[in-house]
Amino acid sequence: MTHDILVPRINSNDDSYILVEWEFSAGDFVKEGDVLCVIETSKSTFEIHAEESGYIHIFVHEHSKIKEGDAICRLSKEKEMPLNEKFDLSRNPSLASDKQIKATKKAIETARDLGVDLGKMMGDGIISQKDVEAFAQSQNVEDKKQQEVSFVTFKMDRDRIINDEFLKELLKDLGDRREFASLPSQKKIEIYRDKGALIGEDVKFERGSCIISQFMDIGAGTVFGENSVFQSKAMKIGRMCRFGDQLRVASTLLDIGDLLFTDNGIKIGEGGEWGPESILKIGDSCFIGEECMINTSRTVTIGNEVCLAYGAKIFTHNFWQPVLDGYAALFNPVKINDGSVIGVNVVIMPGVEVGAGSSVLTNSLLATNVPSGSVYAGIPAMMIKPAGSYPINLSYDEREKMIYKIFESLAEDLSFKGDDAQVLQEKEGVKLIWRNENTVFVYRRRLKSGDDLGAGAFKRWVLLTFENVLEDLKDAITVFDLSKKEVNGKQDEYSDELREALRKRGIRFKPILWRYKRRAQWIDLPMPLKFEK
Amino acid sequence: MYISEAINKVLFELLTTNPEVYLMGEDIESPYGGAFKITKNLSEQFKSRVINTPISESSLVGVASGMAMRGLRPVLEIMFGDFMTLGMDQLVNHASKFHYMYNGQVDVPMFIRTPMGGRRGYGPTHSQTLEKLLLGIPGIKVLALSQRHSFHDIYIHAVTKEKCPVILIENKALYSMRQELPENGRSGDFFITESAGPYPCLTLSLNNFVSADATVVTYGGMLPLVEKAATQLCLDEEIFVEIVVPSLLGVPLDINWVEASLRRTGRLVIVEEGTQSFGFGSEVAALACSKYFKLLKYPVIRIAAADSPIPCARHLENLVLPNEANIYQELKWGILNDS
Repeated sequence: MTHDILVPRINSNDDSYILVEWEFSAGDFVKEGDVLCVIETSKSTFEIHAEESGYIHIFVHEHSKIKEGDAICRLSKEKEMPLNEKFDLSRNPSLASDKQIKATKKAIETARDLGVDLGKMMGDGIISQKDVEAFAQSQNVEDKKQQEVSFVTFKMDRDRIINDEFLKELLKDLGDRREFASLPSQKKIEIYRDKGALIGEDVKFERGSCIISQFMDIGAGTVFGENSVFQSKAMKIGRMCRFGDQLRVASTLLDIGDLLFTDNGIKIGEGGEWGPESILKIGDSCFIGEECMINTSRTVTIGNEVCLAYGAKIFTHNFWQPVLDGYAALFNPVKINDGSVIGVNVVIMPGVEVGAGSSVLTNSLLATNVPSGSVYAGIPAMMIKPAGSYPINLSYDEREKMIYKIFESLAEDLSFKGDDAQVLQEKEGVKLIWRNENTVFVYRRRLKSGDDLGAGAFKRWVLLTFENVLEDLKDAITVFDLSKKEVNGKQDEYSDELREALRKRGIRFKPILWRYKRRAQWIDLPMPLKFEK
Repeated sequence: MYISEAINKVLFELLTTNPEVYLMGEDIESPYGGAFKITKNLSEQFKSRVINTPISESSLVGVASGMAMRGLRPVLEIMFGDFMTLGMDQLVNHASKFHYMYNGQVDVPMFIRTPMGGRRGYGPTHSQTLEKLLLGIPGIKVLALSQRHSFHDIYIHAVTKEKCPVILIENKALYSMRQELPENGRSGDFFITESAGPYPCLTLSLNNFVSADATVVTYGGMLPLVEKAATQLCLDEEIFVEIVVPSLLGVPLDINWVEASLRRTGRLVIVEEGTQSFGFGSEVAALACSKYFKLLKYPVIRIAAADSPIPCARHLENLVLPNEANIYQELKWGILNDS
């Protein structure tokens, strides 16, 4: 838990005060009620007290000018500063004017257009548009080199590039007959392989699906849904991806990692698909909801474990009225970093970057960059929580309470399915006994070799822990490691039960599974009679 | 250091090093220490030389000019600049003339410091900016300092070296601000050049004097407001202005400090807190037109208080006095509409 200390209104004469001195240094532990610092007004000095205990992270130097409402320090349960200091200064306008880079509005716009990082400019005084342009000029040579490198994202074997009438036939085929698309999956794979495509084991092209690409590298276990059409100059798709039905994907380059899960009706491309910058890069374990749209006029980069919820739309171009009449025409890449979530129906405008672990809430119109660990919402999207708000470093006690609740609700679910499940709070952890299946789920903060686990009355042991030091796992044991986010040992419908319960709380384990070995079909479930009146 | 402290310190230094220095004024002794606490704690250490006077500005100025002629260096505090009018006869008809009337046999090195300016809700008779009544009297020097001028150096020179009466206008709003002296030609966001001499004129630029759209002449307590407006204008519109801040307002007024900047900009803007008609700005504009007519490419812009008494109510006072927002607007539209 963190707590920011804000400057209070001290009197009505002064616009700003001076922070005279800190009583603690950064990283010290502060107790509730301690004097943190001394502030000077034009009339007197004033002490600021700690409102709660914690480690202190200082945002403001001694002798700085501060204003009412500025955050001067943070009290946190964690000793390490969980966020970058630069952003915190920008939260405080009066501090920003002293410490941060100052640039004119035109300079900021130009920097965005030219892709210049203002932080790298060694300016003396306020940065103007001219300064940015001069800087961009000096950087240009370097940038071009980088662009060339980033264009090719994966290696292509020249011999495997398909360059004959086959593709043209496919394109025609799509127009009317769909002859090729309606072939059985195995047949289609054989034809592709024959032409030189790299296609792994257990890949499936469902009915009506078709790929038109001059280079294909598709990992094992990937499934393309019904009536989905992919067009690209070159594509590399990882293992165990699941593409839904009715997809329309068109992009010069597709580079998709492992375990992508997309729902139905996704559209990728939508204008500008054959340009040199029409590239879609997606990391591992991402989720793309139904009816999402990704416009690839310019490069769209999506990191690992990113969720694009139902109907989210990403635009990389924006033009209509003539530029000769002074209207704007925008073409800019979009980047979404690891672990962020883009809410339902969010619209992302060109040039936006979403920082790692951030959330953009439902229906937002996102036209600004989102820093890491923040929350944005609204039209246009505004900051709801500042950078570094997440992840929060919770204590083990707090986490254990949550795990207990997860176990409780899992037991409830199992009982609903007609099973006999019971949660027990024990001295060293939590235990869920699933009696009719002779299975037990155990949570321990730390697993030791000497523990009495994996033996005795139960057939299956599914263990959840923050620290696993068990060396050899017996056949009947599964271990979920919450720190490493890994699963070890046997994986079956019993371990999936816990895995699914955890997934529903955003706790995922590598490799991430989207499909589970369900124990019961919904048709077999009992009618929820208790809801009847 | 707050400017009120800076003045208190330099007065202490003057009392310590110069036995001829006397402080006189209404209620300046401890414990009150003056209406703005500038003479706080000085009477305790210099009992005989920090003197409370009756509420009679006329006699205060008269007595002081006598002391000055006999070789002392009186430093007067007129509690509010509005009351300078009560000492006017002694100043205009006597102190300023003695040197000439007695054929140079006597000097009147009297130093009068007085706060002017509004923004405190003190009403029509305690908020005025009346420099214009004091300017243009031969034989008197009128000074006004901003937060970027060295109060210390200018006080020391004016109190110990001058031979004529000197009036220093102190803006009330500055007392609670800090001294922000330029270091290596920088202060805050500004690049600053300083003219030579005991009463330096500062020229401020946000882009190291590369180019600018206007030369803004202002002084004293208006500088912080003009600086804010100029910075905002630069951030919002990339309109750069240079700010010229003289410390010696007259007399005679020589505006050669404006020339260099005017050569770069071709546009003169004058910002002052007093009413517009017949004031410092009028004189600067007139002199600029006769001396630098060929440098001026655009009409002169003037920003000043409305020709009105100052209301007590803060929101009405705000309408009368120039503030950050209307300086910004006038500069922006004045420059954009005419370039």
